[in-house]
Amino acid sequence: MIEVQNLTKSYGPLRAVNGISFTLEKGEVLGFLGPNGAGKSTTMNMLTGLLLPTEGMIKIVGIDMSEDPKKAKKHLGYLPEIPPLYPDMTVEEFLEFACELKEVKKGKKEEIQRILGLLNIKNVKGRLIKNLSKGYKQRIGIAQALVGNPDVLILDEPTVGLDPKQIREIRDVIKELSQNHTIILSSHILPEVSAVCDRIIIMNKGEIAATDTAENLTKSFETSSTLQVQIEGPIDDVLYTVSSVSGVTSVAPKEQIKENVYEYLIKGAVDLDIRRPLFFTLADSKMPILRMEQKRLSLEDVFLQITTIEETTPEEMHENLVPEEELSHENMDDL
Amino acid sequence: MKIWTICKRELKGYFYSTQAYILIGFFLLLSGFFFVNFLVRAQIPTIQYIMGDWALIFLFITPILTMKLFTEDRKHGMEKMVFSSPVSVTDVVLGKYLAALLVYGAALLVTCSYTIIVSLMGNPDLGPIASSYLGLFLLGSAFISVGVFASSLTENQIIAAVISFSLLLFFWLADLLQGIFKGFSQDIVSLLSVFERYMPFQSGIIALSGIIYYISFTAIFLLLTIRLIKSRWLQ
Repeated sequence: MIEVQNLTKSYGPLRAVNGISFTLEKGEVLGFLGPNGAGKSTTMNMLTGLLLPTEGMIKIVGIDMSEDPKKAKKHLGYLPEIPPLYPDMTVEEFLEFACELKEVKKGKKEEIQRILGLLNIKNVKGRLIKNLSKGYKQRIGIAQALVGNPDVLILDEPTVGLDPKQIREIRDVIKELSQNHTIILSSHILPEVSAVCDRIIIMNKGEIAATDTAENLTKSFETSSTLQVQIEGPIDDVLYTVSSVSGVTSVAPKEQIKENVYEYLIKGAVDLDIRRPLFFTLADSKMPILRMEQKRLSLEDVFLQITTIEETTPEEMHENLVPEEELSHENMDDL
Repeated sequence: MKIWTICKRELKGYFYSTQAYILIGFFLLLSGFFFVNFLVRAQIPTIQYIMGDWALIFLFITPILTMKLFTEDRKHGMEKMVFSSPVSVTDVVLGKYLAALLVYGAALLVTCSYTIIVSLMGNPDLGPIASSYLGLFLLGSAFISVGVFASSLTENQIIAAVISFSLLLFFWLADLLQGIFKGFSQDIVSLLSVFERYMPFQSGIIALSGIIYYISFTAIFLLLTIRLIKSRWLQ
């Protein structure tokens, strides 16, 4: 459905996007993650034909974007970061305009009704867009991307500015859409990405820092398994007993819960389950476990690890400090 | 071809807000004042002599008429939606230009009532009036193309208006400089003088050179706009 090869965008000596490649099959949902200035929006602008890449190739449904942009754009629906709206039009008029732009010729009325129903905005169809709340505006932004039922949807932060109930609704809409559409979405809200996306690309400094499913990403970054355990007993004895359990690499008290009860962080080797030996050893020593919880890395931890490890290399930081700033200016000028 | 789609949307923008009504109203107020003033003083039942003055009114109105054509789109993020659709930049620029031209045409159409009034009063020579209308329409088209260009330069409506006003003022002043220069420099100044080409139309001559001049003038500014937008997006 989408094929991207060696995509590069340079602004003078600065490479905003540096040779990224990926492919997406029909019905896949891809999440773009990355800190501000990582090149997400630049990549999305190139995918939608707004920016011409310096190098590389983009194919949408097999059509080369540089060869036949008009035809390729017919298969695209795009929601930019700021939802595009004409405030002086009613919702219905605006969608009609979108239909004409996207060359929906037959059944314009039905198409508008379908989209209004899908996003649950039938009740505001006759109202002026400028009088609507932020949540509705965002949904109308998504609505215009859906006009003409395009094969590929590119959504730049689709749930920004919505309340939790609406976020869930939009998430459900995206899941429903993923049955017939290929979707690329970018987001800062990490649980959202892990909930909706089949695959995640973490971008940093114009390059793909990591790409995999949310599950695999978190797994590959787990270098040890951590348990959070509440144990009753004198602290020194507990520390001594726990560290004698085979597989435990470190143990440290975290906080006191009540008298003689502490919470400990116990780390073990990654491929070893230390819960059973821990339980029996402590039971034998008459030190009851009151609570035990396995801590997992969240996608957030992975994201921070990937993006901060690279940022803190001192020479790199020095090298990249100035271009980073220039990049953000360039982007602002573009908008 | 999506020219009409874009044009329709811009016309809605003009007429859903008070902008078009205020601008047309302002134009009619001043042109009506010139009309009455001329009739009372000269006592001649014709209007072609005052139509040249309308061009001056339009010099002040064009910047306001065109200032939001592209700036508004950028402010509301519409540029991204429009240019990620299967629409060519040319269609967008022509659509917006056409919308402004139609509003201008609507204002001119209302002034036809002046012709009807003078026809009732006496027996005006309709030929020069008709050619003056043609000249004014072409002149307006040239003005609007300058305004369209200015509005694509910036995100700020006021700055767009100031730029187009300055450019139009420059073309008007070039007209006044005509007598000063000689030879080659005079040719250059005459090339820039948008108002001078209108004169034959006022005397009832449909000058082909004038028509070609105004059409090329419009085309140059619209092409510049297309180039500018393409360079901003498809760079």
